[in-house]
Amino acid sequence: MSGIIPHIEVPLLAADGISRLALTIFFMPVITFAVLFFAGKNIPASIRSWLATVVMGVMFLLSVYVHINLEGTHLSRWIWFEIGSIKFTTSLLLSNYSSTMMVIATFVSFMVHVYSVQYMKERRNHSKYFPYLALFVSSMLGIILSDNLLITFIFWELVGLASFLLIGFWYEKDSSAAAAKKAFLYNKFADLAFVIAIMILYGVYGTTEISIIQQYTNIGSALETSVFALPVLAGLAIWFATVGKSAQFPLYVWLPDAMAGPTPVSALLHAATMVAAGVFLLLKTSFLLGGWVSNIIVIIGCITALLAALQAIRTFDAKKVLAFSTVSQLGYMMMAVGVGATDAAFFHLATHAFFKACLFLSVGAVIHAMHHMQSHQFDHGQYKELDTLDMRLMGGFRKTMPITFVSYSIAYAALIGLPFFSGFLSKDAILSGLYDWACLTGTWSWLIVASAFTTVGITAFYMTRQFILIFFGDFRLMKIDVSYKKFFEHIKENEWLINVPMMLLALLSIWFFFSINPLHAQTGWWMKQSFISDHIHDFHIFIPIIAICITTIALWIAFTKYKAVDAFVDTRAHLTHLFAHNYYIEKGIEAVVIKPVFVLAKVCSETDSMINHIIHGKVYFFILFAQIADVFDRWVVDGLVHFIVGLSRFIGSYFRSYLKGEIQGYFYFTLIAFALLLLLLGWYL
Amino acid sequence: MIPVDYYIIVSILLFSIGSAIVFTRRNILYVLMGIELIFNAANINLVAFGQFEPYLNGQLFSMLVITVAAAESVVALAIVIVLFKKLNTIDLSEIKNLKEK
Repeated sequence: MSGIIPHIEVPLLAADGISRLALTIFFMPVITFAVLFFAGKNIPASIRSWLATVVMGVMFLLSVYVHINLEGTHLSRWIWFEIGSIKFTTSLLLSNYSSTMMVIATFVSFMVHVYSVQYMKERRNHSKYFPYLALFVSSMLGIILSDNLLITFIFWELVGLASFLLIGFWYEKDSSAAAAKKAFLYNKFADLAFVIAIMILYGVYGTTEISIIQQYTNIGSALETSVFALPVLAGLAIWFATVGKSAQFPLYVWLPDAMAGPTPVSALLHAATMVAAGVFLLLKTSFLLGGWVSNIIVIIGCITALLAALQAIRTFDAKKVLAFSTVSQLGYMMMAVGVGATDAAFFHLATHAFFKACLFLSVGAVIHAMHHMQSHQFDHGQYKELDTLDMRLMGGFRKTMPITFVSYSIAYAALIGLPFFSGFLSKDAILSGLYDWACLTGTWSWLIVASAFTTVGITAFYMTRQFILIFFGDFRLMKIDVSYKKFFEHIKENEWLINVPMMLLALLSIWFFFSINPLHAQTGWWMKQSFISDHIHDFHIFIPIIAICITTIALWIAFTKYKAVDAFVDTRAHLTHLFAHNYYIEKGIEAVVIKPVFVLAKVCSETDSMINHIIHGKVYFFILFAQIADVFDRWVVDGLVHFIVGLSRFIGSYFRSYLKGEIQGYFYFTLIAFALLLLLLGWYL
Repeated sequence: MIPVDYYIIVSILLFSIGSAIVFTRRNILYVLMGIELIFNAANINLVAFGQFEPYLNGQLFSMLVITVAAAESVVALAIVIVLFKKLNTIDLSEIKNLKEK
């Protein structure tokens, strides 16, 4: 490196009308946040929640308008600030990707808001809930719209902050506070890589504008010059940043814990904002990925998908199962990004946003109903501690909550990839992308494909397990405790504000929103018109067939296994233990990262105390020396001075004794002294 | 021209007489007069040696000494008056305030 930051001319572009509209959409939740955060306590709760919800609805409509009227890409760029002659620009990019993502994010947020109006009613700390949501959404929109890595990083951190606040929303519970802290720290650790990436790119290109960097980057030729060329390393660093946010192995362990937050927040976090941000950023900067970095992404994505799916099998926490499933699906998206099937990854991100939000909202509805029952029980003075998230205590909700059951079923079918549902299309797109890639690379990459197909089966298995445990069979809590029998009737369908968002999201999980042909996404408008990319995916008819076969087998196994299970005896305790501890990843991180850091800290502190001792020794030496010098000063130097003073005083007083105070006496002595002086003078002369 | 020795003898005499007055007399006014004599002894010396010097600086200097002596005697007499007012005496044998107690 020459040490000089290269200068690339960054043209400034004025914002056109549609970009201004997008900017307006971005600033709307910012204003909502400011108003509700600072004045929220003075506004009645219903007005507060409806204000945030209506603003979100308007944002959704405007986003749809932007998406429909958008043609081509609209890039606007203006100067952010200047330091000397260095100009920092910021920019806004409206493309098909970003406008689509905006529609998804605002729609899911809108649905979550509507849901929250009912769900969060009369909950503690209500006045802070909607401003946090607004902050979350605005930061996400910032990531979506920004074309500058520095600005993206700011919003990236704001997303982290908002997620921290929302995961720890019920912070008086220790587990919530711990989960929020965990999420925050895991994300911060990964975000370090983002900072490194920005530094590398700024060092190489002298700008952080993504589109400018894209013009000047050719990752293939960079890889030819050096395997560790700087742009390649920047790509690796950006990927690592997304490992934290998009919950990849080994940092995904924060996501299951993040279930401690309110359920609508989980829906938002998993669908439209937090985890989507990572994949979206990686899609934006996918021109930096290539060679061995891509391979790492694919391998880690594959490991993530498989491990998380396995963990979901033995989890009984209803929300955690969905959390693991999100991690698993994110693994799929990352694999797709790694093999270059970016449009497939984005397609899956979109479909996943809808059906995962729907799943969370449905499970939230079930939990809400359980809470409802619990509060009735409380009114009867029979309150008992109850884990309302435990699927072992549920069952038979199919009859009491039909709307929730139907929406859950649709989203469930979409997630496991049954035909005629959106997940089928996107998952097949990813699988065929993987297949194409494996055909080109060969050898070990077939293992990846095999494991991806295995994960399809496991996904079908654990989702069916949850489906059966919640909605089929009998109400298991009754069998454990008979006193619940009379409260079962209180488990009923929730209010419409909870049901409608669920139903709308379920509707969007059906195939015809994405492709007219229910079996093949290539013919749909989504893949054909929204994303004009160079990748032309060949249609492999056998891939969906294999996937459906695997899914069907898994479904059959799950149905036979869980159809009539009422008592849960853990036959493989070791395995459950392993899964419950996240494969000891946290222990591993502790051993690999935290312990060495502590050892280093200890060594540093010991070195420090040693240096302290040396300094102390030196100080003691100087004090001793000073004492000796002090004694010398007192007795020798001062003594000499005192001696001379005393001598003079003695002589003086001797002569003074001759003076009796008579004036003539003084004159007499003066004369004698003068005479003696003259004599002395005469002696020398 | 009178040799310089004679001047010196006169000046020595004057000096000795002045000194004797200063040492022996108890009246402060006599002591002041003795001091004046000593001044004049010095003046005679200055004038006597001044004649060897073409610019007569010595003689001029004697004029200066006379002037200073006049000023000095003014101050001295003022002191004497103050002394008399305070101590009600001009006898030097009684004035011993300079001795430390």
